Amino acid sequence: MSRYVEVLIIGCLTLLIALICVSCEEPEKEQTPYQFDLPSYFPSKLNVSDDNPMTVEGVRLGRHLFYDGRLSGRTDTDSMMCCATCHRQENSFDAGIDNPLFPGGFTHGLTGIRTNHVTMPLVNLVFNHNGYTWNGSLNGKNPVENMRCLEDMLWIVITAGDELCGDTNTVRALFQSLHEYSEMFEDAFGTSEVTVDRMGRAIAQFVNSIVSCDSKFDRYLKGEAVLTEEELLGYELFMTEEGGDCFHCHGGAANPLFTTNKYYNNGKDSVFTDENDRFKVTLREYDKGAYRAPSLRNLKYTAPYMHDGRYSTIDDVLDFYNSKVLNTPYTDVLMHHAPEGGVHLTPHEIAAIKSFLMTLTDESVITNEKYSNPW
Amino acid sequence: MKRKSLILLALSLIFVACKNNEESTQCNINVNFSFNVNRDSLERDSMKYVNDAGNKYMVTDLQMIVSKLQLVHSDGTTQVFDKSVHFVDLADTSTFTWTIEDVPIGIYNSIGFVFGLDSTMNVTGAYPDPPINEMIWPESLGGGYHYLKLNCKWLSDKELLPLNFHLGPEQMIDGSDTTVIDNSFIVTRISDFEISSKFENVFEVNVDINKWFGPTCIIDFDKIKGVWIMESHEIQEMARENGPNVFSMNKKTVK
Ligand code: HEC
Ligand code: HEC
Repeated sequence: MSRYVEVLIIGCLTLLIALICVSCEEPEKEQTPYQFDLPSYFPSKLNVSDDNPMTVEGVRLGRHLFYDGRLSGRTDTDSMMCCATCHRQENSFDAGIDNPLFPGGFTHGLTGIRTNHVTMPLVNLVFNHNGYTWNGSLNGKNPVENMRCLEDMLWIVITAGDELCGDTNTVRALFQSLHEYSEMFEDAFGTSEVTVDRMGRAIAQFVNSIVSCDSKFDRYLKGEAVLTEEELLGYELFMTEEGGDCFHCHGGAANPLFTTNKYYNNGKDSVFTDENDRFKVTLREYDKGAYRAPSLRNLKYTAPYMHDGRYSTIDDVLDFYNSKVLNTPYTDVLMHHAPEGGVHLTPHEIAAIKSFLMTLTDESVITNEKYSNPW
Repeated sequence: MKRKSLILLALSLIFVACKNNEESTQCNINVNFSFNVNRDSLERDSMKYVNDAGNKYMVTDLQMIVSKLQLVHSDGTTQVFDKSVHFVDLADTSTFTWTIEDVPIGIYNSIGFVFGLDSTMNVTGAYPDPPINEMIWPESLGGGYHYLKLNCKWLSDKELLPLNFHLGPEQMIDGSDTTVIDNSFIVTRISDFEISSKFENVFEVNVDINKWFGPTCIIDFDKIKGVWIMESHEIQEMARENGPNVFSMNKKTVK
């Protein structure tokens, strides 16, 4: 036996003993792994952190926190704010144009400061490996250590001036004092000790659990529904270069997320004044005015559209793609009808695309109790 | 439960360690891609390239799929890694290396791979995970996946125009012609070489972007203005002619 193998075996035995010791100290309570029930054509590669595996107990805790206005660190009714204030289930976890708190869907934080952009719906994020937020600044390569993953979102939201405008110590102390949470923390993490880190992990687990895979188009793919002639025409146009040419950025049957989750400049502007575009993250000149392509699922609930909410109806969006596209040096090559100003479809064809887009409406996201307010 | 699995884990570690002792009959090979224009390394976003037709252009993005690495053994048998698929993205250097595991060591006569996916692999929905799912090819054009998305901007009469040089299996959209133009092809390098666990097995693939546009079939951007390349039998066929000249492969000598 070579010396190398001997060393390895001794190493392994030491590890074995160490592992047994560690496992003896583990609490008796076991967590139940969270299971997704996904259609066969859905991606199976999930973006779940190795050190934060999803469990039924973690998701449950996360759901309670997501909907708890005391996340702001305050308890008087006027000063409560939580994730669900801006990410409402009835709007597919977007703010919604009909939001009584935020007229037109333009959100602001507790102290009234407007957010840089409009909200994004929190659906199918577990399949996104390309960074979070409109410009993708929350990503694994961010030089700032605690702005890299979904687990970091809570910390960001608590401290952001345009969101909860609070501080993590106060929030931690407040939640430690709330008795209704001690058992949930115990179940999820084997300890009732509250930390902002654990809160962030639980919320990330809940957000990751929100999945849309039951639209009419999904049922069509599963052979459980038929599309009308108009919807089929719309899909055909969506999927072809000489038609609407949407699929390069927004997917299709074989990419049922209806986004690539990549960043493009879709030709809305020729002057770029927003400091928080993709350029800020990559410093690549041609990323000026680029944002992450949103999923087209549940558009019915997610107005206003685009990062700045400039369009309030789907008709406005389609009108833009049809005839108002600008061919600037920054416009992405995939917008290759840009030199003609758009795809120039007939009103009948535009109506067909809209019908198709409506087949991506997934009521189950809006009604599923698993995602609803538990309080 | 947890304890049991930890013990199992430790035991299996011992197992793995012992197995490594036997003289290895398999090893990994790396295929490294580099992108060039006439031997100079390709610079993204730089308007400095000129094709055989004289069009001035720049490359903004490039994504492609390679698959089915194959090796011909000195005894004539062919080893095809028929599940191997790799996605290369110009914007992400970590995709430039394609590692194939568990390759039997020995003397080989040639190595090759498929540019794109051949018809057995090019099935709609076969790769639902990112990044390959961003390569989807419309069902009405035969379905499956783009083999190549080469996104360029070029200068025509001082106007900047997009050029989506997108290749994949192509059939007529209106069903008038059902012949499928499958422009996947095999890139090969022939000459004896050894695959061994004693050194790193590295193959270098040079991809000369400009050769997609000539000289075998000259693709003049001015003439194809307004043509949807994905839907054009003619351009897909020209690309199939030009393609083999785009790739060249070498074995790297590693001490
Ligand atoms: C004041 C309103 C507001 C509150 C409160 C809020 N968000 Fe958001 N959220 C936004 C806005 C606006 C964006 C888009 C940010 C951007 O890109 O500029 C966003 C983006 C996100 C994203 C990125 C989604 C994607 O697709 O990349 C996630 C995840 C998210 N929020 C989670 C949360 C969580 C978890 C909470 C609670 C801890 C929360 N948000 C609280 C307004 C809010
Ligand atoms: C080059 C890639 C690209 C193409 C092609 C493209 N889009 Fe988009 N789309 C985007 C990006 C990027 C955004 C977000 C832009 C922003 O926020 O400023 C977007 C936003 C949208 C939105 C708003 C969604 C929301 O929640 O705000 C809709 C609807 C939409 N696109 C539909 C379409 C349709 C329909 C087509 C085809 C006619 C199409 N897109 C073609 C990249 C693209």
